[in-house]
Amino acid sequence: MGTAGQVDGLAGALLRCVDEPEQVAVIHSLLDRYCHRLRNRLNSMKLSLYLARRLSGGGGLLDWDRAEAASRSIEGLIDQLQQFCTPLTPVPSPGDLGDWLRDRLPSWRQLLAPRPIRLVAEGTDEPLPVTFDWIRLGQGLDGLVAAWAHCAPEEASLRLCWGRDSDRIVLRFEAEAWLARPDGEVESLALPLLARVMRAHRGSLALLDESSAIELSWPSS
Amino acid sequence: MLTLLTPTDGDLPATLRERPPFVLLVDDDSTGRTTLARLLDSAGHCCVDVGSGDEALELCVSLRPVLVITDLCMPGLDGRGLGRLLRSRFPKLSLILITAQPLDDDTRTELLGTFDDVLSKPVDGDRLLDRVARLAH
Repeated sequence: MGTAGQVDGLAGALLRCVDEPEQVAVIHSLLDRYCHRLRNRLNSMKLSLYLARRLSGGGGLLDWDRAEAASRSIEGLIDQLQQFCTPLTPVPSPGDLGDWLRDRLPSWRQLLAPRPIRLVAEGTDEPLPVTFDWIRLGQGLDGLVAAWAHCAPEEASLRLCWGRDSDRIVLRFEAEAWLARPDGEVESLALPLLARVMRAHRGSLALLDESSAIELSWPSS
Repeated sequence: MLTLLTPTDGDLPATLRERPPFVLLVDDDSTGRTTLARLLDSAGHCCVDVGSGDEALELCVSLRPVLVITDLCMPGLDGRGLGRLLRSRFPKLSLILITAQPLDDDTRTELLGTFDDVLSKPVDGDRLLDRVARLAH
């Protein structure tokens, strides 16, 4: 089964579009007005919720924190949807992938800690010079880790490894169970967003081992 | 809260001429407009709301709001055009733009040349009330 076939819902549908850039343009025009309406409705809901909480003094029967968290999760989904539809022009710059990942690890571990989910890093110590759009890569991986932080099974353990495989750079997340179908209230579009970033760098995103591993790879030159 | 859906002319009722300082809300989406008006009303700000940029422009000529909060995307005169016209006619008038459109940095910077603040929907209630408290006087 292909990578997109292993992912349900909107994320799976958008993953299928990544290899056909013209589809993204069509989706953009279809969703632009829809996202605009969603934001207007969400704005009214968010301000009404804010006013109700303010007038109640934060008391009453409603779990305000939970209600506001639900509102934020919908806002996040709309953000991701619009980000997916926005034209992507990478701005590559040279750097060392290992150094870059080691810099990101503390923030990812902090994000995963409340569940608590372990993140073990096993990358090569050798220099791994890479030219990439580091901001886009950071946004993509941050989104993926944020999705796991909300939806992955509690006390799960993740393994991150990276290195060079012949003429390709490989970055791989592994877990005991699936990584692509988090069981959350609102689905994440982190996978198709990251897949777009990889494609823009002539790379690919693949779900392997029954979705228990996510592998990103791109040409080393 | 007073809602004026019909543009006013120079022949205003005395009650309107003597009304306290008010915030003008401009949005073609009536639900969003009403929600915003309720919130500002609860924070002690007198509000007038209209559904188009043209109505807002005409009203600003007749009455003088202390602050105009406008949506960006509207049929006819949109928020950007309204902001430019109001800024040129009333340089001291405070202006806030609220938009559901994703804005890149260049566009946001350009809009901040006209508006005192630019807020993205969904708006953070604390930030909005803070900005209104600072600008509506």
